[in-house]
Amino acid sequence: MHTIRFTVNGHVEQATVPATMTLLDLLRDRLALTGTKEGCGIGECGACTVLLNGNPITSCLMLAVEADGSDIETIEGEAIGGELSVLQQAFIDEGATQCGFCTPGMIMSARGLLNRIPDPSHEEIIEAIAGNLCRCTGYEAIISAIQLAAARLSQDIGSRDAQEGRAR
Amino acid sequence: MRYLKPSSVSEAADVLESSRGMILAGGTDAYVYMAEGFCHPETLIDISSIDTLRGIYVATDDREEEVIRIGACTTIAEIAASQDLPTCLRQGARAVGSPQIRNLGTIGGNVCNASPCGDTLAPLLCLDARFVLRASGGTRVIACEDFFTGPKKTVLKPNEFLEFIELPASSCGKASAFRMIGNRKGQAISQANASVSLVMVDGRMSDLRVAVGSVAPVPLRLGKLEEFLTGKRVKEVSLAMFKEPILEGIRPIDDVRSSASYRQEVTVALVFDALAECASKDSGECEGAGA
Amino acid sequence: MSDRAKNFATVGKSLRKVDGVALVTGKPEFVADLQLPDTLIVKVLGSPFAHARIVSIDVSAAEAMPGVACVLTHKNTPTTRHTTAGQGFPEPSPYDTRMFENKVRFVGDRVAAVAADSEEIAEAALKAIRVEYEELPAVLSIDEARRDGAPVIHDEPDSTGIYDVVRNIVADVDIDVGDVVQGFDESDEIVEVTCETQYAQHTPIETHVVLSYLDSANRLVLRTSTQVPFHVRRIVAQTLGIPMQQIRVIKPRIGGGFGTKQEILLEDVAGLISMRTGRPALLSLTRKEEFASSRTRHPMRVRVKLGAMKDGRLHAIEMEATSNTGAYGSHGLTVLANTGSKTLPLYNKAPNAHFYGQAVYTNLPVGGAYRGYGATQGYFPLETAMDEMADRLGMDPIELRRINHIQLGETSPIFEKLGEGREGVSQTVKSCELPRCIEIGSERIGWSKKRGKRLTIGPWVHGIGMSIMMQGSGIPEIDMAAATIKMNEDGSFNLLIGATDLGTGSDTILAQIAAEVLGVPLDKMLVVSSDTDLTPFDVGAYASSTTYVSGMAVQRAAEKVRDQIVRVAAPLLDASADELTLRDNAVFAPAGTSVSLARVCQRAMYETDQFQIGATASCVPHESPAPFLANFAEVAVNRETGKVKVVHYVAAVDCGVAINPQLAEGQMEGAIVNGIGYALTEEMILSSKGRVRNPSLFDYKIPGMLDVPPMDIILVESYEPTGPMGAKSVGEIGINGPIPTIANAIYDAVGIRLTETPFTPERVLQAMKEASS
Repeated sequence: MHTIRFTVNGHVEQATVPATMTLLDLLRDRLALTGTKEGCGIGECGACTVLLNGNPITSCLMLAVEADGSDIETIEGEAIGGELSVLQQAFIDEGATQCGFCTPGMIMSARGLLNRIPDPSHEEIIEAIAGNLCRCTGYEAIISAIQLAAARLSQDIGSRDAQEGRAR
Repeated sequence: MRYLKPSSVSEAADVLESSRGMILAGGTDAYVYMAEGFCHPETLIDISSIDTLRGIYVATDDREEEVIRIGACTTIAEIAASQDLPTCLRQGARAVGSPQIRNLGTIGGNVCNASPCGDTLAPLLCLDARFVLRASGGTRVIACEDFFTGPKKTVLKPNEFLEFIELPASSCGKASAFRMIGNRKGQAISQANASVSLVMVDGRMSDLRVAVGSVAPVPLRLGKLEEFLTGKRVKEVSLAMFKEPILEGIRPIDDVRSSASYRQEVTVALVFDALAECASKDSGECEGAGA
Repeated sequence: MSDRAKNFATVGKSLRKVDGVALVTGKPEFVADLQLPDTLIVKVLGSPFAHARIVSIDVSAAEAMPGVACVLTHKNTPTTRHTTAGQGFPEPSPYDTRMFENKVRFVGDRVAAVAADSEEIAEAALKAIRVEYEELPAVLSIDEARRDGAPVIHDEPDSTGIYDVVRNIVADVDIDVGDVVQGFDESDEIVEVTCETQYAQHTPIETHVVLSYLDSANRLVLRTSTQVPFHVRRIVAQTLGIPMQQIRVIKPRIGGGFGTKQEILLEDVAGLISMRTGRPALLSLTRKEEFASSRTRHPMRVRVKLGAMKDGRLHAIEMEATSNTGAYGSHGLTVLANTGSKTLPLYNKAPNAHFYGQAVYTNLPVGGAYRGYGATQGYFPLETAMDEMADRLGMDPIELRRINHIQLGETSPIFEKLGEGREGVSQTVKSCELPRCIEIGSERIGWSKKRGKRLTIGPWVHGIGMSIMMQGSGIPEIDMAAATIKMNEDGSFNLLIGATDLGTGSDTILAQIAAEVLGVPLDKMLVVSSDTDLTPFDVGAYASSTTYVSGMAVQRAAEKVRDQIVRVAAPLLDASADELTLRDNAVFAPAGTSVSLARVCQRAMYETDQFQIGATASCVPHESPAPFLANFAEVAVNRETGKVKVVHYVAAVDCGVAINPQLAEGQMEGAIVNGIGYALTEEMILSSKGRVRNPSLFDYKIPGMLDVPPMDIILVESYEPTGPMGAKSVGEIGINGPIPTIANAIYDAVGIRLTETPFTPERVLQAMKEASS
């Protein structure tokens, strides 16, 4: 067993885990952060995407022990105080969510992108989300949602999100 | 299963020597193998957070030559984004997995996993890469050509791990390109891939390297084709002309992703396409490490 | 927009999904997100053989392992024959399945299940089960299945509903209109095309999963990812031999279905474990198990023969289909029948038509319902043959279709001859904008500019193709849906529906229909759906039924409630009930005076002649109005690698009034992209022993974001007089388009007719080589 310390959505967490446990299982089963989904267990579908030190990764492909000392963000940290982030609102407005099972992973990949590139091109968007599979939407609405979020963020430079420098 | 996280290269080498554990360098392949039950390591040695194993910089190698050195735990995403590396290697890195996998996975992991379809392998081969292997007793250097011995097999001994990859400094002065075909655009596994590097001298191809992947148990240099093409202008050659030297060189198999005969056909097209891209550039495309 | 649709306040608007906020914030809405203490993890042992008898099975070592709570095999489980197909009762699929059996019929067939404290223990226990198999000769293709002396897959005496046990034939269909033999004799031109489609899977991102537990009254609760909660309740009761009243089925949010969850695959096992142990049990398929042991699209060989006169009028159509249902006959008959019944009425001008075919057992993965449901397999050869016929006659493919397709006010004898595996229901087309769909779509793709031009850029050659199609809206005289609406004293309403939202947005559009009738904004409709204890009956989400059938039930329930509201309001407004209207949360008299809905309800609840304002209504449809679709694609084919790129896809669809245009477009986009995957990359590859060789999303390639072409979805609105608010359904039709449309575009580009899916680079290259040699 290994004791690890890390932050999740800004909160410091400590956990004692077996070496075989994945980060995904740690999040879902220990921390009850069930917004992160499992769709394949071997990094194919992207439903388990979280941010590790700001970069999107598939949490099913990472051992929990490897997360020691890192900063993790999940879908549960996206809305603050019940207020949806700009990305979340854009997903709703564009109808980018059908069944919604891939949505948390999609939003985390999109967050990683917008943190890095606030005004992504169409090409940059599809490259960034290429590791997230969706079987319902055909992706068009998801691309539109990310474009809408980027546009709203750029127009709204005085907002709290912009001040935090995040895609909120 | 034990999990160890050495904080330095020498500590990693010692731990490996004593435990003969499995090196974890990003883990995107290793974890899948464990989940699928292909391997059951007793000890995992996580080297991914050792600082000296990360980064791309100019150094002097064991022959006192200037090289571009890439730490084995540099992520695939970092390789793909680097302005200091030749195009073919960046293109190959961009073809690996998904963005999430490229953020976790490392070049050392891709190389040492030695999958015949690994997308950085042919680029490294056509760039004359050399690998610095580390053990507790010291290091040895081996050419990329000699590193791979079969599917998922390399010359690495149980007490060795890859520390650095080194490219000749001149590789940045070359034009290079990587091409692959998979069954989907994103997150596709190569059915075949090809990487070419060359220098155009007065419109003629020189210092040519052609390497192909996914069409033999190990990535291959196509020496006969290189010979045939050297000194020619790109306009002089047609796809049909170099079909034979390519097909002589490769040994593809039938598998769930493709048939051998299709791999043959398509390898020719990929090499031709990569060559055309190289020829369209006059000079090298990266500034050189540290520039 | 149609005139009648123009005056809607809520319907016809792209309102936000009612479950949107929960989904984008990652709330624990899905089956496995609910974590109950003491939950057992269930793992299933699958057969390693395609066909074998279990000689002995020893679970003693597994049972003895610490942490193992329960092991199920054929020795200690009910033996009732049933079907896993979640269809209306009596199901048209054979009763050929047992929970566990001493015979296995495909690789991955269920042998045993273990429930343990953890996944690790359950997996270790599975490995400790000793099974001795007697391997039997296996049937691994549709041709082998019917051969004399072929192994009999369902030789057990107690299975029922199988057409011909000895020849492995599940179902047989044969219907005639006119005389095709004579029809072909009289025709000027004959075209015959045979197409084969592959094993494909739905791959919802959430695999099949169920959580079962006992409630405080010891009733069995199944929280399950299903499209058919009421069929789950009935079939689990039947399978386990317990009273239906002992079971409650809850469908929470589910991670996609596409037909594969119209199947009762796991609920019986988890349920029995909870009943035996008293503990919650979670059974969730891994992706690998999903590929091996869940359901697939029936692979088919379909032959189409067309006879036409010189002027292009079709004179005779024949379609022969052979369907592979795999090891069990789930949806075998009905998918086969739909291959004809959803395609042939499109070309109703032909006086002679013949559809016949059989569905056969093999020792291969099991077929099931999959979006498109046979029509997808049928339109490939039909629309390929139409393209070829146009070529032979020297006609524009659009023109050939224009003069032959069904029109407003017309009927087809096929409607009556062929239905859901039995006789169908006669109907005339009461809404059809197909001509406009074709016109708008052909303009958008640039048909006249690009057709036949073979624009060439490097190794890439461009071509364009088209196809047209129809589907249906529900199953007439069989489907049934009900809705209950009750009013609250603040003027809000509870909408209780059995209908099943798979992510399609049906909770939202059904609420929009109710809100429209009751004159309230969407947020006044509080939706509870798919809970067999709380909501009225609905067959579930399949056959493109929800908008049309459940929607009509909701509209009727809302109208009954409106009638009650105006009766209560009339004295308050000093007017007669029949002159009152509802809008803006209030009831209005002609004079303009109004009273709020809250006030009306308070009066009914607390003041005079007190009663609960509320009503339940049902709908059994008498016809199945078709949505219509015109598809156009521009593709580029690489002459060197055989790669096919879809450059532009245009789909113009008539689904009546789109209750929520954004959601209707989403249905089309998702279906088309799924269809593009089916056309180009998706294929379950089977070994010579019947094992799935590519059971992962790495090697079974569904389209990712980089694979999606620019798409134009155009909703060409009509008004369906029999539908709720003029609506028809739109869930399935889009998936039928890509295969024939892309195939016809490839023909335009490089002159090859592909008849086997998917159109992988390898197949395309091979076909080009054969054509040039």
